[in-house]
Amino acid sequence: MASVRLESITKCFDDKVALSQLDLEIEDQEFFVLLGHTGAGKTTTLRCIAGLEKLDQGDIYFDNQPMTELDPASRDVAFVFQSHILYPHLTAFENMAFPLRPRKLPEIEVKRRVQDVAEMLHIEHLLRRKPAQLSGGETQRVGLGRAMVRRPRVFLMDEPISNLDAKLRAEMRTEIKWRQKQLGITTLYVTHDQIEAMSMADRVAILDQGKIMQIGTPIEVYNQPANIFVAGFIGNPSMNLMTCRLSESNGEIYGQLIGHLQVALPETIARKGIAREEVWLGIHPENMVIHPQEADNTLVVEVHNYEALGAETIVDVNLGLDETDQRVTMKCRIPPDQQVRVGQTVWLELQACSIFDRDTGQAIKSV
Amino acid sequence: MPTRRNFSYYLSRFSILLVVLIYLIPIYWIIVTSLKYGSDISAPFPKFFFKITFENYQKLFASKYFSQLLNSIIIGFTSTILAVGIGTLSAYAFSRFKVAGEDDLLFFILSTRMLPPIVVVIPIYLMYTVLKLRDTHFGLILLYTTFNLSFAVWLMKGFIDEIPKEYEDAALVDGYTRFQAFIKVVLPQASTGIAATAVFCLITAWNEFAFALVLTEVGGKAVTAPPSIVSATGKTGYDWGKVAAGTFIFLVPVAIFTFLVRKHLLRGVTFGAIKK
Repeated sequence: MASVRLESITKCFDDKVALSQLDLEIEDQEFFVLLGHTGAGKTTTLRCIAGLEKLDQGDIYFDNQPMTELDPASRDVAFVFQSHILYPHLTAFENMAFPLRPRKLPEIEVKRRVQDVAEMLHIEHLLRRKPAQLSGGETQRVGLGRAMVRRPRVFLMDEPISNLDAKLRAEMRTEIKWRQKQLGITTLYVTHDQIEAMSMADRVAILDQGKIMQIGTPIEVYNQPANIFVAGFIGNPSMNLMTCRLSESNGEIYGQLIGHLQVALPETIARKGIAREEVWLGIHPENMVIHPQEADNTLVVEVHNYEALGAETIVDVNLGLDETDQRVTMKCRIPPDQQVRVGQTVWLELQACSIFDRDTGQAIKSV
Repeated sequence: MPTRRNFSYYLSRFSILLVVLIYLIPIYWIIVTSLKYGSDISAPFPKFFFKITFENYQKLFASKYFSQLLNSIIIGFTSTILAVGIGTLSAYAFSRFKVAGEDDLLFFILSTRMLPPIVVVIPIYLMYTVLKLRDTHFGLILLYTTFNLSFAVWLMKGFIDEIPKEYEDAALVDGYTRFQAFIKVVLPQASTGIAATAVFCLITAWNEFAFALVLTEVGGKAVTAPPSIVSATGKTGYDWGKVAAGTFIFLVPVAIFTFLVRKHLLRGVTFGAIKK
């Protein structure tokens, strides 16, 4: 158990910069998720922490002890890989005992530890099998057991469940999070799946092109995305983003979306961006209300499509065409009992929004 | 299990049988010849029923053949172990580390096989004479190891490239050194490749004739079985019975070795274990 600190670490592969000046602090016992698209540098970060990659610059500390120069074996971390989790030539038991072997423990102690973890994960009956005889979920459980058996200072997990089917993934999400809390071992978990990040993380860091876009609790990054990249990544569906021209009249701030579509924006937010004239407007799907009749301060739009998902309905509304003749749509989340039909004209009310700088994409926090 | 057997099933079985027969006929002929009297061997019409004799084998026992077969075993197996061992280590290095000029080095290694070995027999003869390596076990072991090394490196690199790096990374994180990870993780999974490479190297070294003939002296201490069999001339030309007996015994060690590693040759140990 340890806190982990990365100080401006940089890693290049040939000419490509994988990580640039990355700073990160993970608290003791925290479940920390690194979220990003493929190639964002998530796995490289994990491999650097494990010592499998040498840093080009920067330092890594566990509990303020420098780790940068230590080899992987001396760092006392456990790594759960995305695939190739188990050695095919060893039984599940030997796979789980494998990390204990270099520690020269007496055989009885090895057996006891493997047995304890196997009981915890309900895999005692699988211990004699070879990996080829295990299902995907069982393989993942044994792989998890192999990481747990050693009680490392830090768990590093690289998309450990992305190869499983949806139902099993949901099960394993709960399982991993629960085990982590039970064992209290600091965990870094890498995923490209924002649902995994939101459902498991104490805190999450969003990475893009080797840089950190935002760090925060899942709720923070959802409600206050730091920039349009985060806004477009988090949430399912994610925040609707569109350019918007701000203007003031009669003390109210209006946002002009496309053409002549204009709507009064919540003043506290819009006031911050007024000096910039043009901004990115971000609206979460649930922060819109669809009215079947005309109402005050609404946008008149057309229903383009809808998905009735049971617990909610996602409606795509068509705002019209922008200057480049591209159709502009927004996704709204409405209660399942509200009826809409394709082609229907409805009135859209915006209840809350965020604004981002037109050029940098950064959230505008103050005037 | 499907029980319906159609025409193509029987056709495939028949083809297998035919191929096996074609391959086995020469071996059958060697065995029966080794058990015949000289007059039966040279009978104008091949005799399928004949009086069995062990005379040819007795003649072999009386000669130096078995000590020469032992030479073959020592030289063949030692050079195989060396070629596979060195080949596996260098293939691992090529596969896992950044080696400066990797492609050029690999091409250079392969290029040693682009020349028919017999072309260099005279320079090697002269070198061996100067270095006093002619007619020594060490000389032939060195030569056969060199022959086989390029093939071993290339073949093993292919097999090791197939083993996912994550396996070693996991072992490194778990507290093993790179060498321990190599022994405990890479070698067991490369066993199929090692077995295949070893069989190939052994057969090459075992069957090698030209250099064994040139670099040893008749009746010398490092003569291997192939030149020895050829030199089995009797008073009236070749003693075919003795040649056949020697050839049969010559086949046995390689057959045993291949039989011992057949499990590794047939079973792809990593198949089905990696779920992608």
